[in-house]
Amino acid sequence: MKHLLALFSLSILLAATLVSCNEEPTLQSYFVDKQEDSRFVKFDLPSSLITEDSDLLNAEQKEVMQSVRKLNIMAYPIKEGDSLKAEYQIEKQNVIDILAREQYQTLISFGSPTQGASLKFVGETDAIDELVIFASDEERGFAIFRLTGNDMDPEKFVNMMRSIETGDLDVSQMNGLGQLFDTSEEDYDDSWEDQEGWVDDEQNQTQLDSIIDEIED
Amino acid sequence: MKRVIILVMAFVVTATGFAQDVFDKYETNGKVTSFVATAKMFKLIRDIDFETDDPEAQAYKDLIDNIDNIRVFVTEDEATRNDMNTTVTNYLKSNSKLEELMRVSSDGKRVRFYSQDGESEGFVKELLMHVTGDIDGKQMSVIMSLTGDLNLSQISQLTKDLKLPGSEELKNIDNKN
Repeated sequence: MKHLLALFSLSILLAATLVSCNEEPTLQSYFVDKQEDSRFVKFDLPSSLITEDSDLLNAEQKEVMQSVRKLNIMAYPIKEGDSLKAEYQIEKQNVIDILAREQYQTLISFGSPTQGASLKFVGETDAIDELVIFASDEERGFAIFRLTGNDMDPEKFVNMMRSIETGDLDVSQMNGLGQLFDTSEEDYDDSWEDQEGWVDDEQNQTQLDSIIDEIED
Repeated sequence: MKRVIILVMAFVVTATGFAQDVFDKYETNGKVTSFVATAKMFKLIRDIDFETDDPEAQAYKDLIDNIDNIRVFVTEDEATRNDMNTTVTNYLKSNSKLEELMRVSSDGKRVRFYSQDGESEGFVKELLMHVTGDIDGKQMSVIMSLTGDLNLSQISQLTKDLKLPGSEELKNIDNKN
């Protein structure tokens, strides 16, 4: 009996060690890994850029913005006549594997034989630590949009968006941000978003589109 | 000894908790068009608690309040179609609570609905739709799975808005039920 217990606890210990040794990559480590990789296009926006102009926000809004740490966008564009599509497939699979891990909980996902998009998050629904959009297209490439922060509460963000709509908050005055939102997206073919079930509710998506446009240009 | 058994049990329970759903494989299958919205998504929408005067939006809100999961898989690929058919058959066999709700055959297309009864009349816990055959001139297989505390008449509205095959058939579901 004692032996059995000892054996049992030993095997648990062993299993735990194995798990902790074998640290799997996260999106964070992937971003760091690819920082110097010229095949990727990167864009980072620290939230300090947004919150700097403190007169514009009231205390509550400031608190909301401070829960956001930064915004990272990374894209792998497929160039015309790209002979290295195999490389693209490998990188895409790497991202898919990372996002398949348990911590990345799916909110919405859409997939077709040639395109895919998913919205995932880390944390709780009212305290999000990381929000991830991953979109791919076999002709254009893939892009990862990543918003990191600390206990971000979507409800508070929506309240803030409402105050933007009602004009209480003038976004255009915020450094850099206005430019980001204004980027034209004329060239972008968004017909695939109109397919059944695709929810285009994210202003984020617009940002992603403009980034993709920039890449193409 | 008891303690060991409890420990082992705990392990087994946790392990099976991670077991994949039978339909999950179609999400990563390169031949399938899929759409998935999870319980977390619906919780998030509920938390945000938007207010609206639009009756149509209000109807959606009521519907969303009671949905846990929605998944749709569509394929034209022949091998995947067959695989889907087998998966559905096995799923129905393994889950005796799912009963056939309705079956319609028309224009070379077969639409079947299965449901698991919910707490109250006119509500279901799970609704599974399986369409096979000729859809818009193409051989297709469609699986739609909805879970939650679902009001059948509201669902027919949703499937119509999503323009899913089978929505026409589902429209009459209240009358036949």
